[in-house]
Amino acid sequence: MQPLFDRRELLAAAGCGLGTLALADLLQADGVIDSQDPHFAPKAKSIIWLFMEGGPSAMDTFDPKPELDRGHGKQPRESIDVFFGNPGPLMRSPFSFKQFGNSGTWVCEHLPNISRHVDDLALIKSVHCETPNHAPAMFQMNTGIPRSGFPSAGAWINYGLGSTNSNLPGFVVMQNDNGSKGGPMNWSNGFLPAAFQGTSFRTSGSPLLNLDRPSDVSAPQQRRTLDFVASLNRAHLRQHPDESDLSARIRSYELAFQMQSEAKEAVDLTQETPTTLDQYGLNHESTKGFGRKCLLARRLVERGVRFVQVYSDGEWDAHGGLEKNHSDNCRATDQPIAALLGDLKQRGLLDSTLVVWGGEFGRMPISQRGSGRDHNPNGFLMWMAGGGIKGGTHYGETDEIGYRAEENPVSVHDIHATILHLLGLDHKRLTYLHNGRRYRLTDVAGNVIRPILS
Amino acid sequence: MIGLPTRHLIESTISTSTLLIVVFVIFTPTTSADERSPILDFTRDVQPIFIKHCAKCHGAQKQRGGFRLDDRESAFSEADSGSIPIVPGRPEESELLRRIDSNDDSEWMPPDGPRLSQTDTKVLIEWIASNAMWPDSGDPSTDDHSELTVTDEDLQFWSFLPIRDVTPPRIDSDWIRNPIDAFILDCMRSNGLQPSPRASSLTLGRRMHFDVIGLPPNEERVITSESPENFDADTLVESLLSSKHFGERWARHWLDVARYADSNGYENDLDRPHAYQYRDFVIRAFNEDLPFDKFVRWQIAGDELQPEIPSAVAATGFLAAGPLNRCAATAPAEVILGIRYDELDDIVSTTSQAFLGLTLGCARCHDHKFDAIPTRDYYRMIATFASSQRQDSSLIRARRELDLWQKQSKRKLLLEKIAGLDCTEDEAKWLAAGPGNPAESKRAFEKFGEDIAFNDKQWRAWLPDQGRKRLNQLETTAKSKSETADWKLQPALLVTELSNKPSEVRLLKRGDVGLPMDLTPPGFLSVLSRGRSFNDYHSMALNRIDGSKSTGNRSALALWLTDVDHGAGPLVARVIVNRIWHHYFSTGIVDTPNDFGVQGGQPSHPELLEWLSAELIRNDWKLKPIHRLILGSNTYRQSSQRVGSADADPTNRWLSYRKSKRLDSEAVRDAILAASGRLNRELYGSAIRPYIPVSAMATRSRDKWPTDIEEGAEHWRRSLYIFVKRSIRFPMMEAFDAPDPTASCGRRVPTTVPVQALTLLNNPSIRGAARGFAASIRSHSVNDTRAQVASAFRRSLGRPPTEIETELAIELLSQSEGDDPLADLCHALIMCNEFVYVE
Repeated sequence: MQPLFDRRELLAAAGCGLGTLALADLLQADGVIDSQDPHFAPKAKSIIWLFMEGGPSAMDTFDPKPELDRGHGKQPRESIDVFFGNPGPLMRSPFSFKQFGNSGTWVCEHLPNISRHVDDLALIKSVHCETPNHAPAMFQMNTGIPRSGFPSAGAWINYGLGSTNSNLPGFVVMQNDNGSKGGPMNWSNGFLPAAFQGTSFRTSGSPLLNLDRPSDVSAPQQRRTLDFVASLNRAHLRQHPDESDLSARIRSYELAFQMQSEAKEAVDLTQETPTTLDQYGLNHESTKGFGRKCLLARRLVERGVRFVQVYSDGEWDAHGGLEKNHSDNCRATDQPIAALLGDLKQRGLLDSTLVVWGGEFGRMPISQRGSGRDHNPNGFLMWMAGGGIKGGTHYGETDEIGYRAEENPVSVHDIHATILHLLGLDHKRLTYLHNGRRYRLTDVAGNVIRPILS
Repeated sequence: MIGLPTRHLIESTISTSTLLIVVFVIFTPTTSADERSPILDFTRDVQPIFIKHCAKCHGAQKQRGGFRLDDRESAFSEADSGSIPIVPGRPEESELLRRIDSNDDSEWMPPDGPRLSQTDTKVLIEWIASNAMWPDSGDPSTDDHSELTVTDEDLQFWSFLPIRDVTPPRIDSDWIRNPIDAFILDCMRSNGLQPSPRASSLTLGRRMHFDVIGLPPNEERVITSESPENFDADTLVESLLSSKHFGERWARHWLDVARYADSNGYENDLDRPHAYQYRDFVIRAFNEDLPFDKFVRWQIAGDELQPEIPSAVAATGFLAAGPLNRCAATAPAEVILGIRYDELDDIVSTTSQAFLGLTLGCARCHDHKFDAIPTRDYYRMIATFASSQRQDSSLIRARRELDLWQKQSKRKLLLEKIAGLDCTEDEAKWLAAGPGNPAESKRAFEKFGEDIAFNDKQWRAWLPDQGRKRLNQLETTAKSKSETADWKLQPALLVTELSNKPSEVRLLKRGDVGLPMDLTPPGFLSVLSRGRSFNDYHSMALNRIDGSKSTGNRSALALWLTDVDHGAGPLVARVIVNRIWHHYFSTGIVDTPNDFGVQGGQPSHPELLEWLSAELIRNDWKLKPIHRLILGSNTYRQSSQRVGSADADPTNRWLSYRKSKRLDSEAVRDAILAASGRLNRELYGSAIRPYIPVSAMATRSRDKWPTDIEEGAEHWRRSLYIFVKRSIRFPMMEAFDAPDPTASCGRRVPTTVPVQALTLLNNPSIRGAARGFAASIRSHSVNDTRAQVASAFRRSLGRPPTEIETELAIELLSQSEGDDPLADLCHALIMCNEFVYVE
């Protein structure tokens, strides 16, 4: 492996502020990766994953089931094994539905803004996963495996492609306000090098840890200190010409210095017009939290962040009181998501950004506690939009009551294979040798869902 | 005439033949690859259907109707009914298709559980229509005939062999201080290389400090080392090896392997306040040079092999250190069983990687693809651990026995009371699980909580005579001592067995709890067993332990693991010796410390590895002699300045010079604390929670990280003591590549990322340490500027500054506008590469 120090020494001698040397170069110097090119021409450059934590109900959002209306109050034909026990009878949706767009997509009454974008969405109605337990299901949706310790999709994608802006992390996570279940195990690098783990961004103030100078250090002082450090480092490097990580570390200080300003700029919404802020719902109590996250997500992909994952703040986990829970969560997310789609489109970014929506599992057709729905991993709904997606399509079906994926069942591995494909990666070729085995995000499974691709 | 599927897309008026034509039209290979895959694959498309819907009754365990669908011959032959399940090429004659589509509830298949979906039915029709291709060798674990059997040839793999008797090469050179040098020099010369010169005393002193105790040399030490004639490496070695900090440093290395954490992980991520007893055991074991074979046996079965020794019992915390999931009491049985199998999987996988360097976990679902490990061996190991449970209990035997007996007895009473209630099955499950958060749990306790509650007096009254007698006995023996700070009296997270009744374990097809196959008794790896069976070890175990309260399986395992002549002992020795080598030389002799199998690295110096392994055993498995040999060798004492070009040995496989390495995360923080004079050198005890910002501590766990921390001496202990909470990664440790404690880590992968630079640049704790550093210099009455600069360099970089550096430093000091210019200098030195790199 060629040491890169010659080039760096030259650059270092020229002074600081040397442009954006990609993180990839640092990591190549570490010997951690060989190259970061897509396997074939990608359709999308970035991905925004809108993670509806808690598990939104398909039959109460985008997949109404007339059979539930007809069968309301009756026992289902087959006995359903639920997580929290005490299964109730079939329960109709408390919401009314209408069809929208050329695609005739059904949307519930509480998602009026998203309903205007249905012809951009590809609905996948037959997703299923292996566990009805929150944390394992979140791990599975993020890493492919329902246990902790594995690299998440964002880590794999950054390992495969790197990021185009080295002054920002390549994998940003905006968590649930209460903390997402399972926490950092959801955006972990697993056994991939630590550089690829997700970075949690705060949505106001200083987004990252350690971006602000200590209170007793002025900006010029910091610059002088860094110059002093650089001098000592260069002398040290001359004594160790073979050690490529030394020069990488020198570079990392320059990147850190730049990150201080660039990361803060990324979350500085004073640059946005009042119209934009209003569109995303930042002026209303119910929508401002999630709206802010969606707007930040757009700014981040604009600035070259490869993978942004946005968690909903509320919990869609309506074991009781489904009507209030889902209408609240719909209200909180409907306008922001529609604004995001519209904004991306208007800026010409939708074609190069893949947007994914969904939770870790869905909900049962039978009632729980009289007014809620228990966890349902057997059949639930996700949708995708943007780069490489054929809008207005529907793929897969659950059975007539929405219990189990029946037609064209889609596993989480299939979802991951499709995402990687759209970003220009062959899920079978993106591997990492660990414990004697070439691991990949899709384990030993996964098929690209071709009918939803444009 | 086959009845047609009546659901959805296909109208019932279409005739069979039309359906088949439709099927052929859709599925002929001329269809573009974009639409769907035209070629069905048995293993991928058909077999999973049989496994999911049919195998329970038509498979290895049962053959209802007189046929099996996991066996081609059987599936194509006449069944009891006279019809044939599958007739290749003739779907209309295949009874299987008729049955899955039947509307007659006396006939339809499967009789329980969901009917086959539209898609699956179509797959089967098409597959049969295309002649039902069924390859000879399916997955080995689904076809009993081709299950992997371990042959004599498999036992010849290099790492499975007994330790060879090797003599160090005879070389005439005064570079050779001990046999390590002989082996290394021999290899170097064969590759046309020569050793690098000896490192300077300053360099060697700093290196040895970090490698052996993980802390920098203090200023006095550095000053001594500046005069080479005052520096004696061998004396320093002895002093460092006998330091109490040695155990801390090497404990942290072992904790990586043991995937140690202080919390459960998953959603609730409950804290484990007593897990630290295991960590302290490891520190103690290394400081006291506990023979490694004992170290192994105690971690596997210390609770029953040495129940009177608190340390030995604390050692079993190794088994309990992995993540632990929970779920609703009423979750489907398979979910609950799955969680238990996951727990056992973690124990088996970690045990095999930690001690054997083998990826046994790969055999959970199928025979190992590379190593001679059948999936049956994996399940034997599962069975070995299956009757053990984690407990939070006392390290003092008498108190532990009383505690566990009480817990069991009270549980019995609780279950009796629940059984006597007029409640639903689900309510009973919630009550048995204890009070919880879900509304169902709360409601159950509202209704029945009073009925099942009992106090101590009531419990004693309920006990039968025999029970009361036993309780009396136990309480007398326990002889309560007053609580002191003695660690032995604090509870520990340990693992033990409560009875000698074995737990049933079945081999799981594809690792799926829904597909249990044959009962599997306990056992070990076939490929590491020479001449002694499980029963032999089991008898030996029962001679040593109390067989009335334990199956003795773990003790048997412990004996097999450390049996040099007939068991896994040779491999265990090689693996630990290699780990020690790895931590001194950045790369092991085998560069995959957790994989000594076929896919792992080949030893760079096989003879040396054999000799060191034999030496370990010769020294009664004590580790310090190995450390001493390495530290005493000239191989170790080389400088980081290469002789000759890098091309001759780009990765330094032949160890012809010392490769610099970056400090690991704990050493970075410890070095900063030490340099600043803040380091609190106290050993042992509960884990600490230093300051982290609120934004970094979002978690669903109800056990939160404290938010009101003002850092002081208690937080400035070594990083080894930081609370490892799975859902809250400590930012600075994470930044410098501390591993995810979900799984065993044999080798950290250092990376260079801007987050590390940001941490050192702006983290308030680091800034505070820099100020403390400056204050500490001044408090040692160092008031002269030049002397301050020199002191700062010595304490951080382990050497005095050059004249140029002194000038640059003084310039920096004079330009500073802050209130503490010296702190700026100290801060700068912490950020230098030289601070985090050790030559």
